[in-house]
Amino acid sequence: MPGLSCSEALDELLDYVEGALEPSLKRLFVEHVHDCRVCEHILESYAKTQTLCRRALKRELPAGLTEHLLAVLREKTSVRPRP
Amino acid sequence: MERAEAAQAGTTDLQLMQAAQAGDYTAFEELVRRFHDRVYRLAFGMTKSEQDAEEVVQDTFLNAFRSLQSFRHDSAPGSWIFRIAANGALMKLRTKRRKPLLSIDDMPSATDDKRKRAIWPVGEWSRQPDEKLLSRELAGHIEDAIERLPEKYRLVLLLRDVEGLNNEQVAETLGLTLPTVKARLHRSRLFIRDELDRYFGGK
Repeated sequence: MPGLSCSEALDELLDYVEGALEPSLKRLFVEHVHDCRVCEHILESYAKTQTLCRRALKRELPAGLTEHLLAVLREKTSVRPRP
Repeated sequence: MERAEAAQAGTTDLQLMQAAQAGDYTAFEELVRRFHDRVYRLAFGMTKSEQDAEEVVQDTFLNAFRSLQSFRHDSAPGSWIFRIAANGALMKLRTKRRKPLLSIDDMPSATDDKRKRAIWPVGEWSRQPDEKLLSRELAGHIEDAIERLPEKYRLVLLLRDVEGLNNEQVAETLGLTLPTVKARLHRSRLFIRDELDRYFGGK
């Protein structure tokens, strides 16, 4: 079976990263990336994008707003706070 | 214990939803506590405004409470709540003046040969640990790049890569097919990746 071109390899990035490539295609993908420094870099950086996005957007509801939210919801849904 | 709901710590989301549907308000409040940070993060990721995000959170749970009986047990409560939040965030965006977004045609595809030419020579940043890479400046750059994604692509990226839903859950949440989710995710990641290359290449 012929090897993958760069474009063909990059089309499989997502499935490779998610472990969803079937074995024969995975072998061709790994062979290509092993021999192609540009595609190797794209694979490494593509995989890193996920964790960097998660860390960059890590944030929580500002402190104190949870109780405020619950109070507003009780008021708007006409539920009395429990004693 | 401070909260009676603490006793619900071992309760599943679905059990809480069933109890809320049966009229147990403390069960509904526990769902709010479980999901408010995630809904806020999704809403902020979409609107880039703390005030808008807080309003989306409030509207999401208010709408969820009012439509509790419409929840069907063949989907996950989280997907149902995220769907309400996603619609709320999109509605909020429609009322705002926004920065221009990428057009779909400008989104990268894997077969874009120009990308490969632009990448050479390749950088080494992708081999650095996240802790070393992720400065406040880079985090801002990533936020800006995500903000430029078309909204329907941004939602997929936020739910998948920031909230950690799997592709099937994203499809269920947004009412999309699995191939559509994967295509949008792939192109979004490629765009963010290209932006990171540009950022590190210019350092």
